[in-house]
Amino acid sequence: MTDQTLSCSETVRAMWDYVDHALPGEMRSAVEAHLKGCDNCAGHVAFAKRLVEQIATAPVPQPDVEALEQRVRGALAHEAMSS
Amino acid sequence: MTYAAIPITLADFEAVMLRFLPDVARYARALAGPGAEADDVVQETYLDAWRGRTTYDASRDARKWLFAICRHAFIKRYRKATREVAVGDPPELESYATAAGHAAAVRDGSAKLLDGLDLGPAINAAMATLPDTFREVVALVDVGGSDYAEAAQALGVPVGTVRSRLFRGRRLLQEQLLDYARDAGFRVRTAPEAP
Repeated sequence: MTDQTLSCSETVRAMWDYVDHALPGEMRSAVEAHLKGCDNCAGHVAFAKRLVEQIATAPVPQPDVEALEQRVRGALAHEAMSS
Repeated sequence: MTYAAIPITLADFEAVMLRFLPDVARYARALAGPGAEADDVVQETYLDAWRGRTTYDASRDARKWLFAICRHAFIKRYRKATREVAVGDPPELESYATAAGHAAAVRDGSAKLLDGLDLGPAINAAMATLPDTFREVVALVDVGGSDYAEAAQALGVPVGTVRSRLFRGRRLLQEQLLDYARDAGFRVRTAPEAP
């Protein structure tokens, strides 16, 4: 497969693997070459990347870590004593 | 197989493992949703890790070892072993559906408006509604930082199944976030108003 032969359909098909850095080097290069010349596909990929970033960085409601640590320490101490 | 620096004593174990408690707590929340249930999963994770401490390979990533135990603790508590969600479509079809959803969102303006919204609460709410099968793989890869192979190993499924579930989960999240933007009153009219 060459850079010139990658279609929009093939690019979209590889979109998530591209975002996840899971494509072999040649295919990754082909996708990148297509994205440079196709605003439509580049928009899809940019949106997909933002989605993953937002999922990864969403502020998950945090527990009271100190209280949770104390609870876990207590449970571990009980487990260690009883085993 | 030899294991280096196995944390045999409780003090050693706590010194090595408890520094990852905030990460495990975040991961447990991604799996179980916010609330006391997630804290129960965290406690069970550390108890199971302590019981299985001799299987810990110090040359490997302790955080990921704890994540794997956390996932099992979650399943043990909440998931029936027989329940599975069928994902019959090839993973690539999810890519098409995701791109089509984005194209529609571009047309109605909701895609652009997502940039101006605080999506944290919406993402947490959307994650909580995902079926466990999809949520756990999104949590593993997108929250926990596993690659496909690592997620496949943790889940005991082929890489292709991980890709199918991950891509479906992301598409479902995308749909909910775009609905969130539209419900927030940011819909852009694409047709002229009637005179």
